[in-house]
Amino acid sequence: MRYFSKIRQQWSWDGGLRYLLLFAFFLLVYGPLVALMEEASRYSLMNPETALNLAFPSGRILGLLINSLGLAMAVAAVGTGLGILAGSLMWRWQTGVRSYLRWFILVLAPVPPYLHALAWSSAIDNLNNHLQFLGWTTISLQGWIAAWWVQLMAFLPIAVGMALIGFESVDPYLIEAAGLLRSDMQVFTRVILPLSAAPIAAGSGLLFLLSITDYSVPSLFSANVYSLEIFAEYSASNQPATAVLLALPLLIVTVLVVTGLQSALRDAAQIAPRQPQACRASLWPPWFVWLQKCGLAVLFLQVGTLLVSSVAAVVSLEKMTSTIILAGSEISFTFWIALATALAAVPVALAASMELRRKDVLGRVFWVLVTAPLAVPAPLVGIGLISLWSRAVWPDFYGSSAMPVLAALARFAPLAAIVLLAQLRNIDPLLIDAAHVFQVKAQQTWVQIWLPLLAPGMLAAAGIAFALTSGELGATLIVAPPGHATLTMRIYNYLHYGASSDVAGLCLMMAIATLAVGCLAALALTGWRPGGKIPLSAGRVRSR
Amino acid sequence: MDQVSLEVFPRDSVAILGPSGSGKTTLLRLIAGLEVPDGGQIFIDGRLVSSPEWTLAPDRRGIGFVFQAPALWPHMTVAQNILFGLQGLPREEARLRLEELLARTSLSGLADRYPHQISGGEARRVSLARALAPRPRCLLLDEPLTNLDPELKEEMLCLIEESLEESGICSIYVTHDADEAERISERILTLKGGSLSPQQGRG
Repeated sequence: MRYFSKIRQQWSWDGGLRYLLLFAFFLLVYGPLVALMEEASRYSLMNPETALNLAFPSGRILGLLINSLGLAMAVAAVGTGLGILAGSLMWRWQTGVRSYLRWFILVLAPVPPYLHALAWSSAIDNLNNHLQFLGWTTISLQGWIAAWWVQLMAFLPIAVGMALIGFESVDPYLIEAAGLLRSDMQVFTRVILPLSAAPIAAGSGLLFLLSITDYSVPSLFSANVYSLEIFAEYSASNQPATAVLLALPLLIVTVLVVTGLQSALRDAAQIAPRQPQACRASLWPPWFVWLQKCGLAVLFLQVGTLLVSSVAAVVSLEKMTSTIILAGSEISFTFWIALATALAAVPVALAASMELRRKDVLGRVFWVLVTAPLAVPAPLVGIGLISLWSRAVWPDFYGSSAMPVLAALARFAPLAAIVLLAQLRNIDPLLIDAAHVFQVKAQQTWVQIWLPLLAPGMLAAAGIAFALTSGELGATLIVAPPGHATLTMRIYNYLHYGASSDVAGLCLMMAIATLAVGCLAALALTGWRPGGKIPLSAGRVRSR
Repeated sequence: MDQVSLEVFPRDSVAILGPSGSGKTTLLRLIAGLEVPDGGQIFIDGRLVSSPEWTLAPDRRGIGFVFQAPALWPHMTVAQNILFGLQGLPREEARLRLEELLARTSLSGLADRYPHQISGGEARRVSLARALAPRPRCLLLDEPLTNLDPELKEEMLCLIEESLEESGICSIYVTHDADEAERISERILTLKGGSLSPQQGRG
């Protein structure tokens, strides 16, 4: 009996399971990268000259890198500016329907960029028809400007959402204290912006990373970017090592960005939500209000174009139904992959998020380890998985449907960990201390206290992992098993032939599914439930 | 609040007592312009500053406010926090005012520290110095001694008394502690059931 009790103790959360899941997290996320590095090192020793040529680009490849950096910086800079303008206006929507509407913006974040590409292609095609009818010059949606605009539109919700999180995080009393001494515009520039800088900087960095690692949108508008070159190199040579070496300059840039954003990301994830508070309307100068409204108009243009163009591009309901039926196997494959990823991501991400709470040096190390994979371009994750699993340790995995799941886990488990951390931070440690005092068994605290309190965060993390996996392309394209394709792969292939009504139906379905899952995740994360939000504090008197 | 009528004269020091939730803080926030009244009017020096239709911005009212918590801006040093309200003043004049306030509040060696680098008592003193810096016409104090230990409370009370006397401005001090109210103010009012009345036994 004592033996069994020892076993149970050993496999309780704190007694071993947590560390096993943590090990699984790092194996899933870092396994492909370690395999790639090992291949690259071996290749470099055998072919030093070729390796140097690949790692230090020149000529066309260098130009490509500079152009890609320029594109990403332009997307990040304009996106951040628009995010601050629209976010500062929406931040004041504290009551009524508008208070919910502002968080709808974040729900749009997981919509895959290629859906925006289709929406804008359709919108410009329609506009060109009208322009042609009037005898005016038509607009060409091709090249770098088109790629910049569509990426900006695709990633704008992240910039606005992060700015909103930043503004929400500022203590209203600090704003009021400043408002007694300076004008509202000066309060905004001297107090609100500096205090919300961390989430805004994190949003800006994310926009940069998403733009520089995305090749789906630029390739659809005939703009060749560096991350597409990595994919092309691997497709041509079938050698993971050459792809890694070619990706090295890009990796250095993205790792530098992630390193620079460490504290901003950490601060952004640890912001405690504030209760909405009645506040007076800000007295901003007319020029600033005008700019804010312009920012908001661009955001509405983004949402409107996505929804209206997708609906308008669908010729008829019958046509859409038949397209969906034809894509039945892809839809089913996507659903199972996304579901498996969501289910597997939550426990491993939870173990990682527990470590992210630490305030010591080890906590900082964990932050670096969890956020560093955000710097890895998607094709490299796919190539790394092939490199790892083709080594015949478990030959059954290689070429199976588990590969896209592993790819999605490697990419999105770190994000799930950050989402879960946000929930963990909101749980008052006093509640857990009280449970430890009164518990009869250790499991009781887990089942009756931890899980119910963590449930919204777990649902949100699962929802985000599901939505992102459904739209994942970069890694899935490389590791999808023969004879199987995800819905995203099918849409991407269709899109290369233009914005046909076939692809419009699938895109509309994909957009609706992503928005639905995103809404559920947002509701879970904001703690919504019939009867109101459950407070996660122990009802302690605030020190103010 | 209902039918609240309060007139405060220059150099007047008024304390408002009342139980939690009686509206003491709301009254101060209305006077400061941080909230808009549903009805009624607020005048400063005979000028209408608040009504349901029109509200003068808080920074145009010439009012100092000491909050329950220090509410110091964490990205600014002690000096920057105090200087925040002195914009427009010539640099030399602002520096002299800063030094004067730092000396008065015994913060002279802490000018370059950030709020997280000072103690709770020091933070309260910075909060008072910041409120006094622009030489307001009236100082509003919203339970400024909450959560302080008795020693710090006494120290802070002395400082508030001295500061009010030296500056010669009117003040409205909100508290639920009758001893504090008696010590700081000449006139004590009670806010209960939404209306304001003189404390029994005092005027």
